Amino acid sequence: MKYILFFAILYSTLGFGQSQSVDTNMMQNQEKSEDFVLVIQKKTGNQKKRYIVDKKRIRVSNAAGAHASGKLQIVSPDTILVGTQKIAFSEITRIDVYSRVFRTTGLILGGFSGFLNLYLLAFGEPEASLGILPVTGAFVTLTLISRRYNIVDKHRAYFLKSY
Amino acid sequence: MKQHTISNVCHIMLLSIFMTIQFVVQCQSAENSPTLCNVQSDSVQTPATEKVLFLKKNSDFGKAAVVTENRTIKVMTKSGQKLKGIFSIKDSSTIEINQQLLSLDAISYLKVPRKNFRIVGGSIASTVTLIAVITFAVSGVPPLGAIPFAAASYIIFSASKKYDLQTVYSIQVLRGGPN
Repeated sequence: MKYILFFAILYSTLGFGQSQSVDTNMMQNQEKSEDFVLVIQKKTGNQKKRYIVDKKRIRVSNAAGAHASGKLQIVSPDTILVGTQKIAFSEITRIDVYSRVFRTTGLILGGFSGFLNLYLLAFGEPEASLGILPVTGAFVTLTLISRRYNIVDKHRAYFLKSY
Repeated sequence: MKQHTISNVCHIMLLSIFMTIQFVVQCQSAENSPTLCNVQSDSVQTPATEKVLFLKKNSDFGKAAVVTENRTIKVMTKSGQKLKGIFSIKDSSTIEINQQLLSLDAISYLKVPRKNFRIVGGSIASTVTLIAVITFAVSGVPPLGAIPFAAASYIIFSASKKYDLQTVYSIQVLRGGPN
């Protein structure tokens, strides 16, 4: 158990080596003069495009494998905020875009199932609680479903900005 | 005789399922097919600028949406005029629908059909129609049970997202392209 906790803490503290942590208040007070849209396009085949706007939940990774996840805020075509981390766009090699439908469904069902777990555990039904645990896990896993874009090899990314 | 009829119905059902799958695949490929100006390979250059309509909720917690060019939209102007058709963006404040120029400031609300709903609705409609025709051909009974399904498929097919530009959303044109 303590190893799981250790790895969970280690995993959550991993971030981009050169990224800067930004004060949340500063971020909220930041006035954006322009709006941007991030476009991810397939390099081959049907050249399908995906438009990603602010407040979309994403996870970005760099070449070293470090990652940051959270809500996207495009400050400029060179810099984005992911959660509270300020990241240079040129540093990013991979973007995972979470599915809102799966995330919402997973949170609702996982929350309900988790509550049922605790309820059964509290009222002396540990076996039943243990039986539901995989179901809770499956529901929570739904929240992690995402579409992955490799913006170095398979996709290209660029920004649209206002006139 | 009865077995022969059941076999025929099974064949026709399989055919209808196959046609539905084909319809869905065609819809998706039509959706994904690039327009002429976007066709490119490694040897062909991408157009320098791409223009989209950017709709943003006025509230701080509001989300934004993007409407790409060459999509069918419905527009209601502030003067009460209704327009429907494929639109293109002329400049930062003007769009064109059915050869009619329209200022973005003059739009009261905008309706954009939902692509996925169109695919689902179309699939249901084609399946229901096929089954109804088959049932009528085999048994001779009018397929009245298909009417609710047809209505449901039409409702799903015509589902659209409405953007109120007077109070809820603000609209602007964004442009850019790959370097």
